[in-house]
Amino acid sequence: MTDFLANTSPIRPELLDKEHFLEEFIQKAVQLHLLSEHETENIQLQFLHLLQERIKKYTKGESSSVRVETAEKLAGGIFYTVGFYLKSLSEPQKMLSMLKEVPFAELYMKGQKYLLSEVEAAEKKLQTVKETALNVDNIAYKDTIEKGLEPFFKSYNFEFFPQDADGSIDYPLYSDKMDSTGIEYIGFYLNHLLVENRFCRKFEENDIQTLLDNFHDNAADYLINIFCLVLKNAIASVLLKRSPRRLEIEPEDCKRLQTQFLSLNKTQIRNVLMRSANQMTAELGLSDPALQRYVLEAAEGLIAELMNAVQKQSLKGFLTVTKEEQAAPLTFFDREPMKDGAFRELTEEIRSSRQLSDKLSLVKSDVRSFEDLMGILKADCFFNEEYGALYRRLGIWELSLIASEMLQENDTIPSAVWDKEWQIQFMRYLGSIKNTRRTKILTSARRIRRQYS
Amino acid sequence: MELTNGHFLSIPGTFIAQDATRQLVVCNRATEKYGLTLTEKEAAELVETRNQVLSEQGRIEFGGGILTKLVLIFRNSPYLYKQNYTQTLNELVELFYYFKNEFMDRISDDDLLLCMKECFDTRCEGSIELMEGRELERLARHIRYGLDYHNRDESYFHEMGQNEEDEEEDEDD
Repeated sequence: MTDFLANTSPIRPELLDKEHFLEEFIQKAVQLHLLSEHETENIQLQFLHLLQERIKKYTKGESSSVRVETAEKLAGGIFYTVGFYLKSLSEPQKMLSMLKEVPFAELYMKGQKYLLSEVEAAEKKLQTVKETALNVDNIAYKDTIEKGLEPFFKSYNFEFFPQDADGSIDYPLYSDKMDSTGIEYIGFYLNHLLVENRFCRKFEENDIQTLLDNFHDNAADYLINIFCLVLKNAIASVLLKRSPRRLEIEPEDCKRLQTQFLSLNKTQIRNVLMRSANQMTAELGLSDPALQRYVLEAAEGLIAELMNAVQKQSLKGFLTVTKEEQAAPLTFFDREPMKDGAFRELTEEIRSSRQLSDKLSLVKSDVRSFEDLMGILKADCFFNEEYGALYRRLGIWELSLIASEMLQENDTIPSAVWDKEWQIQFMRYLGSIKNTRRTKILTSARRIRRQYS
Repeated sequence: MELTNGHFLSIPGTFIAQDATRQLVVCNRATEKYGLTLTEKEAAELVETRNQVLSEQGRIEFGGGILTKLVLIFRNSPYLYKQNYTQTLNELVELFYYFKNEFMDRISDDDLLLCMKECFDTRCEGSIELMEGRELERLARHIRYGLDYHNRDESYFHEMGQNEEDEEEDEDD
C-alpha cells in the first residue's frame, strides 16, 4: 500500500500549463506539501544565482542591471529550459526527485542540451515534411512549408530566449491548441503536419486538388486544413460503400447519407462514424500506429460537427461536395459498331502491319465507334509502347471514355492494379501527362453515361 | 513570468540590500584618504535610493551592483567633498540608471560611469544639473541615432557640443 502511494503522484503534468510548466509544477508541489519550505527556498536561491549568471552572460558582463522585462524574459528562458527537460522525464515523481536532488544549474544544462537535440531533430523533420508535401494549390500550405518554418531555425535563441519562436506559420493544423511555445510548439507542429501529409499521401494529388476546387473557387487563398477535408470525404465514401480513395461526393450522395443518418440516434451516429473510420484506415493500409491514432482521434473530433449537420440537414456543408455543374452526367451516343467480319479483317490488317505509323493510320481511318476502338485495344493489335503512341493520338473524350471503361471494373482507377496490357499502358500514359489534363480525363470519366444511337 | 510583486520566485529585496550596504561601508577604506566616507546609515540610504530608482526606471539589479564602482570611480573628483558627498552620490545613482535606459542599454556600466566622471570633473565642473540636462542628454541623443561613442577622445564632447550649437545657430538664421 505504501509503495503504491509512493509511486503515484497527485500532480498531473498533462494538466499543467505547457508554457509555464515548471512554475506551475513547483507551485502545485508546494501546495501539496511535496516540497518543503527549505527545499523551495533552496530552489529559489539556486534559480536566482543562475539568473544572475545569465544576466551577466547576456550583458557580456558589461551591465549589472537590466530592464525588468529583459530579466523576466531571461528568467522565463531558464524556467522554459528546465521545464522542457523535466517534461521529457514523463513521470511526476521523477521530476520531483530531480528538482530536490539535482542542482538547479545542472538541470538547466541538461535542459539546454535537450533543447539543442530537439532543434536538430525538428530541422530533420522539416526536411521530411518538405519531401512529403502535397503538390496542391494552397498558398498558406505551401508558404508555411517552403518559407514559413525556416526563419525559426535561423533565429532561434535557445540560449537566452528558448520560449520564443519566430516564423510565419499560417497553415492551420487539424487540431492545434497553440498552448506551447518555442521549440516545443515547432516540434508539435512539424509532427502533426508530417502525420497529416502521410495520410493525404494515400490519395491522388489530383483528387485532393479537385476537392479543394470544389471546396471553393478561391481555395488557394483560404486558411483551410486539407487533411480535414480529405478525412471527411474519405469516411463519407466508406459510408456510401465505396473506396475511401474516391473523394468525390455528389449532392445525391449527401441525400443518401442524410437518409441513412436520420433514423439514427447520437450514439448510433457516433458508432457508425467510428466504424467507417476504422474501415477506412484498414482499406488505406495505415499500418503506422501513430498515424492510425491521429486519424481516429481526428474522426472522433468530427462527431459533434456531423451530428449538427445531420440535425440541420446540412451535410453539404459538412462535406466537400462536387459542384452541381461538374456533377451533371455526360451522355455519350456511340455509333453503330462494325460488323463482326469487317472488324476481324481490320484487326488482322493492323496486326500484320510492320510499321507503327501504318497501324495508327488504319485506326484513324477505319475505326468509327468507341466500341470498335475498345475492341481494337483488347484484340492485341498493339504491343507495349505502341499503346502509348495510340493514346497520344486520341482526344480528351476518347481518353475519358477509355477511363470510364476501366471505372466499370474498379473505381479507384489511379491506384488499382491492372493486368491487361492496354490498361497497364493506359495508366502509364496517364502518369506521363500534365496534372490538369489527367484530372480532366478522370473527372469526365466518372460522369460519362454511354448510349447507342 | 514576473520577478516582482510577490511572485513565488521574486527576488528577496532585504537579502540584496544588506549585502550592498556592507560592501559600501568596506569601500570607506579606499575613499577615506580623500576625506570621503559613508556611515552605515548613509550607505543604507544610498542602497535605498538605488532600489527606489531601479524600481522607478523599471530595472533590476543583483548584488551591490554599481554602487561600489560609483564610489571608487568618483572618489578622486575635485568637486566631491565631505559636505556634498552623500547627496551627490545619491544624485549620481539616479542619473546613472536613468541614462542606462536613455542609452537603451547600449553603453556598459563602466563606460557610463567613466563618461559621467569625465563630464562631472571637466565640462560640468561638478554640476549635476549641467551633466543631466546638457552633456548626457546630448550623448543619449547621439547614441539613439547610432553614433559610436567608443571612439571618443577629449575633443569628442567638445565637437558634439560645437555641432549642436552650430545647428541651433542655423535654425535661428
